[in-house]
This record gives sequence, structure tokens and C-alpha cells, in this order.
Amino acid sequence: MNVNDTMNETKSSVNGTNSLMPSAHEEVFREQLILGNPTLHEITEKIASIPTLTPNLKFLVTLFVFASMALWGLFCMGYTIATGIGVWGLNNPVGWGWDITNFVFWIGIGHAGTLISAILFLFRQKWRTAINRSAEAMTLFAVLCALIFPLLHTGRPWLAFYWLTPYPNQMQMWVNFRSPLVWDVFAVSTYGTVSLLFWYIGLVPDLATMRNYVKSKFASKIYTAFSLGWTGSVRHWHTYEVAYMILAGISTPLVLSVHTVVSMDFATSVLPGWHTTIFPPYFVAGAIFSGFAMVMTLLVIAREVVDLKSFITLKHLDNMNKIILATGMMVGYAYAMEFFMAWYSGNPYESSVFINRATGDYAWAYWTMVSCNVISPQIYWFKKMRRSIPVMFVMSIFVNIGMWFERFTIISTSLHHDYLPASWGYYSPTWVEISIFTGTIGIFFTLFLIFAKFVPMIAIAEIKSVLPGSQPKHHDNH
Amino acid sequence: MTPIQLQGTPFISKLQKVALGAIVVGALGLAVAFATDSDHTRLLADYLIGFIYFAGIAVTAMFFSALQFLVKAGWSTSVRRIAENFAGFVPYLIIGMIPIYLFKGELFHWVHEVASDPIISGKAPFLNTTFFGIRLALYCGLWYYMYRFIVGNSKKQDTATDYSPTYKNLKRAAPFVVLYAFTITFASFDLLMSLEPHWYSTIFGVYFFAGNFVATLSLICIYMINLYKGGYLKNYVTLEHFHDIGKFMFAFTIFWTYIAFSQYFLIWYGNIPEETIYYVKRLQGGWELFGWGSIFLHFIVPFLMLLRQDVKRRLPVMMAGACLLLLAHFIDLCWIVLPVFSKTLIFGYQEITAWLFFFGLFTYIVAKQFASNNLIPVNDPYIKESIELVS
Repeated sequence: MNVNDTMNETKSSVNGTNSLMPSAHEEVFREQLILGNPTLHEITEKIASIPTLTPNLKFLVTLFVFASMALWGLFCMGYTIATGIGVWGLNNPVGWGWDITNFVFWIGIGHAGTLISAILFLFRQKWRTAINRSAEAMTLFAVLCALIFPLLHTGRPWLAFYWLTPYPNQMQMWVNFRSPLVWDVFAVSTYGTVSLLFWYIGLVPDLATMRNYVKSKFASKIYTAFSLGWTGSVRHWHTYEVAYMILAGISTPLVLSVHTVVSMDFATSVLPGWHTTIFPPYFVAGAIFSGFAMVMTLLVIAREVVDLKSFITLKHLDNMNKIILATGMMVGYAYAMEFFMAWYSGNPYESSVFINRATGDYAWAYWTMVSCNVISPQIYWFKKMRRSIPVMFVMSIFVNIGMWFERFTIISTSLHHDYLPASWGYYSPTWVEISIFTGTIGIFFTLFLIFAKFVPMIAIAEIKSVLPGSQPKHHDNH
Repeated sequence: MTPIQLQGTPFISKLQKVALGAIVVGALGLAVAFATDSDHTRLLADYLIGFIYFAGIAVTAMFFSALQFLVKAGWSTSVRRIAENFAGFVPYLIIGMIPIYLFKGELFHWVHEVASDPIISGKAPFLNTTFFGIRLALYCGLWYYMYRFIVGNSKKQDTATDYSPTYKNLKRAAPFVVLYAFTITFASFDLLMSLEPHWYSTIFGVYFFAGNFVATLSLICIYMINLYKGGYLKNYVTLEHFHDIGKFMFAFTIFWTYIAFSQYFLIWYGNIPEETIYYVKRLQGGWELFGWGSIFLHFIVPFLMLLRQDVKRRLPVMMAGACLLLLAHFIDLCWIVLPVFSKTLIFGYQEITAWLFFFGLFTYIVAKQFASNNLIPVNDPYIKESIELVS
């Protein structure tokens, strides 16, 4: 028997008949993506049953905590609107602070969802099927949280529509198309719309499964309405797959474009530390980095709480940690290029900004960023670390902290030192800004808990396609 | 699975004929240019373009191989050896670097101005001839080491009795990719960006990488088509593989455009003279032709050409797309290098023959690699996946 013909996706089928000695090099082989060889029915049962569970005390307490944070945040938003953004710590020279930091932070969080659902789909990465649903949901909630900040920053959000949307009007007034802030409106709203469509299209077959699965008549009616008459016929599947592919194609440039436009909020200026050509890809890499970290935080908890360990395996987490390491290195590369060019350019303002970042008033923020984003992810060079649940949980939090501080560092350090030393200043947030940020964390997690309660957390239909033997194979040539 | 040897096949003899023809024509062109032009800087610039063109492809082909190991790619196994044969050019890069180092004074004007120009003298810790030479040697050394390791182990796997060579590559691929990122970045600073020593752009390394990656994929595609049509890849490469390489070419054409746009747009928008000077120079005196050429040939035409699903399975279209992208990469390098030496458009036979000369050398060495290596990594753990690929 030929050596290679015996090779399969599983180790077990390789041992025995193989004349090459695989045992010493286990890593060479593919790991199974679903453990325990469940039947198709068992998979449906396991995942579809999660939304039907009666919430236990732990769930309710968690929900209560996050919902309270959200409510307090909402109160502070109301306070800001009623009083004016003077209640924030923003002033000259730092006119952008926590608000824009939070905006960029949340937009970034969403990127993992789009990357997983679109780019990994186009790359035929089978392991994405276990994590794409929750990552996509996360994208939507993150975009929602992000939108709050620029809206509040307009001061009078009820007028924001008129300021931000180009529409023909009798005053012949138009938005400033040359402003990246207006591009943000287009970019983020496109991104939000496409992400929602993508998430929903992917959900339709599973909602139909839920429709048939749930006992309650009321719930069944709602699932029926949202499953759009899905019957699972070949025709439906065919249309579904075409739509899914097209949406994946449309979403792929959006992974790049949104954070590119966000980076241009800074890079189109002439401010030292902001104006640099590497910003677009650097921001995109950072966004994916932080997005994966957030997916990790949520999934590590979710797979424990509702026992999804046979679907979200250590292999999945390992892969995600590899992406975190890779994107972390890209971010590190960008830091290095910025620093090198600040010196190489011979521009005294550039170099002074970067020296100030590392040694000035905000050095604490800068070094938090470097240690969380560049230094600590290096432990992921070791497989043991990539597969240790406590390590990856702590790391995912670290990365999120680091990426938050990255945006804070970029924004504050370039603003607080003007060309004129007389106008230098220092910015600190007020309790209102802090509360609004924690409020968005509350909103994000509250929405995620609600999602987990009502929608299958894993794409039931898709995950079945990664069972051994269910992949199409090319045959006609031999 | 039986190993495929190309030694003695028409493919090799054709490749060698093309290579020798190109070397002869190229050398003739270089000789004529040397004899007729008293100022040899243009000749050196053409040499630099030709050298970087194929050096970039060789090193990036090595990176391509390392990348396949890093991500444990299944689809690419049956075409990976093509890239590895390109990487066979890597050991000779040090020879090509020698003239660049010897004639650095003619090519890089910072060599003379480092003492007199206050901006450039500030860069002296980096831009000095000693360190410059050390760096060039260092890149070649590191690339050679990576090439020996990755491609060597890939070839060793063909005859190995266990998977230890593949295992070694899986372990080492990640640090090599990091090393590649930094060497290709600083090589692009040294060989291209420092031609304009006052100018700087943080994205330049990524820009250079993107151009190289598109060119490498395109060249892989051309070799795939020829081998496929010659019937050498029967049972190993199917239209599915063309579909996949086509997707890669399409995606990275857009990636190149994205990076090129990021650089251009942010410099244009910021409008700071010390940055815009780079593009100002390149958008007048006839050079704008190359700029527009880049936009059309590196983006608009290949984008429209490769967008559809079905064309990625049509070999004539793929061939045309790949050739176009290789041309676009050449235009791009000319656009970076030549305006340094002439304010008005210069483009003649010298540019083409210098490129042909390197094309010949590269093809000759690659032909030797094809003749001596197995065409397919037959013992690779993922070869079966690659054969059964459904794109």
C-alpha cells in the first residue's frame, strides 16, 4: 500500500500501516476539529439545547452585573448629553481622549468576527466553523458600542444625522467629504450593515433548526418568522451558499477598509506621531489582534460554562493564539518601523514625540502597551502556553488592555505636546468618561449573554461539514 | 507515488535555451550600453532594477515555502517545489550584491553627502558605507541560511523514512518568517529607499514585500501552466490549484494596491514637502506615465481580469494575468529607481536588456534546480490533501 494513501486527517488512521514513523512527529498531522465522534443528531442536540436551558443563578448574576454597568453607563451618557461634553476631561491641548480611544478600541474588537467569517472562509479554514457565529455576534455588539462615542462627542447627537450624512437640502449644505471623520460614517455603517447581513444569512438554517427544536409555541413562532421559511431543500442550500460566498467576498475588503479609514482619522493630519504611512495596515493588524483576544476571552468562558469543549477544542484555541502571536508581531513590527523612521527621518518633531512616548508623562501608558502587546504574547511561541487555558485567558485580557492603551498612547501623546511648549498639558479622564467606557463594556457583555441565550452559539449546519469524511475531494483526474 | 524527475525532458532544454538566449541578448545590451554611454550610472541603475527584481522573487519564493510550512497548508503541496526551485537563486545573491557595493558611490548619493548634508549626516549611524556593506552581506547570509534549512529539509523529506524533515521545517518556519520580514524590510530601505536619502516612509518595507509577493505568485503560476501543459504534473496539479493560485494573485494584487494607495494617499493628503518630493519627482517629466502604468497594470486591469471565478480556471487568461503582473512589478521598480537618476523619462533598450540578463541568469539556475530536484514533494504529509484539493 502506498505510503501517502494511508494518510488521513486523523492520527489514528495513520499509525499501523504507515512505513514512515509518524509517532515521533505527531505535530505533522491534522488534529480532529470535533472530538468524540458525535453523530449529526448529537451535534444538533448539543448546540440547539443551549438556548433552551433555563438560566441558572450564575447566568442571572452575571447578567445583572453587566446590565447594571450598562445602565450606569447609559445614565452617564444622559448626563453628558444634558450637561455637555464639558463633563469630560477633554480640553486644550488634548481634544480627543477616552472617547476616540474607546471608539477605535471597540471598532477594533469587531474585526476578528469579520476576519473569521469572511477571510478564513475564503481561505477554507475549516476550524472557523466552531467560532464564527459568536465572533460575528461580537462584531455587531462592538460596532454598536463604538458608535456611541463619536455620536456623544458631537455634543448634540440628535443633530448628528444632519451633520454626518450627505443629503440634498435647501441650504445647499454638505458634509465635508474631505474629512476622514465623514469617511468613518460611511465605512462603519457599511461595515455594520454587511456584518449584520452576513451574520443573519448564516443564522437562517440554524434558526430553522431552532424552530423545529424548541417546545414553546411562542419561541417557535419567533424562530419561524426569522428563519424565512427555510426548509433545507437543495435549492435553499444552493442559494444560501452563493449568498454566503458573495457576502464573504464583500466583507473581505471591509476587514481592511474600516480600520484603514479609522487610521486615517489620525494619519491624514500632519501631527508628528499620527502622520505616518504605515498606519493603515498597522491599525488593521492591531484590530485583528485585539478582536481575537476578545473572542478568546468570551470563548474560554463559554466553552466551560455550557460545555462546548468537544467543538471548541484546544486546537481551535491554539490556532487563535497563533493568530494573536502573528498579529502581535505585526503590531510590534509597526512600532519598530515608527521608531526607526522617527529617528531616520531626521525630523526633530517626530523623534521628540517618540522619545516623549517612551519617557514622558505618558510613559506608563506606552510601556503598558509595549509589555501587553509585544512582550507578553511572545510566550505563545511555546505550544504548552498556547494550549493552557489559564494562560490564554490572562493573555487575552492583557492584549485587550494593551490595545486599549495603544490607542490611548497614540491619541494623547501626540496631542498633549504641541509645537509650542507653552501650550503643553496633561489629560486625565473624569468619572463620567470612565463610567461611559465601563458602560459600553456592560452593554457588550449584556448583549453577548442575551445572544447566547437565544441563538445557537455555534453554526450547527456549518460545523457538521468539518466531521472527518465530509469534505469534497477531487477525483476526476485519477 | 513515484517521484517526477525532469532531467532530460524538453521542459528543461527549453528553459535552458530561453535562459541562454536571454543571457546573450542581455549581456550584449549591457555591453552596448557600456560602450555608448560615457556615464555609467544609468547602467548601474538598470543593474540594480534587474538584480532586485529577481533577488526579490527568489527570497520571496523561499518565504512562500516557509509560509506553507508555517500554516501547514494542504493545497499548495504539489506546487510548492516550483517556488523552492526559484529559491535556488538565493545562494548566488551575494555575487550580485558585490557590484552594488563596489559602485555604491554612483548609485547612492548619500555616500558623498553624508559629511556635508546635515540631514544625511544625522543618519550616518545607519547610512555609512561600512555598516551598509555589513548589512548587505548579512541579508545574503541570513537568506542563504534560511534557504538551506527550509528548502533543504523540504527536499530531504522526499527520501526520508520519517517525517523529521517536515517536522523541523514546521518548527523553524515561524521564526524564519519573522526574520524574512525584517530582512526584506531593511533590504528595501538599503537598496531602494536610500536612493532618495532624504525621503522616508514607514510602509516602504510592506510595499516592497507586496510587490515581490505578487510577482512571485505570478511566476509560480506561469511555471505551473507550462508544466501542466507539458503533462508533467498529471495527477498532482488540477484546475483546482490554478483556481487557488489565481485567488492568491487576485488577493495580493489588491493588497499591493492597498499598500501603494496608503503610502501615496497619506503623503498626498499630509502634503509635507519633504515627503511629497518623492511623488512630485515621479509625477512629472514623463514619469507620470509609469505612475499611471502602475495603477492600470498593477491594479485595474488584473483586478477586472482575475475577478471572476471561472477565469481562474482558464489557463490562457491566467497566463496573461501573470505576465501582466510581472510586467507591472518591473514598471514599479523602474518607477522607484530611475527617477532618482533622471528628471525626465528615460526608458530604452538598456532597461530591458539588463532585466533580460538577470532573467537569463535566474532562469538558468532555476532550470538546473528543476533538473536536479523532484518536481513533487512526494513524501510530504499533505501531498494527498493537495491532490484531492477542491478549491
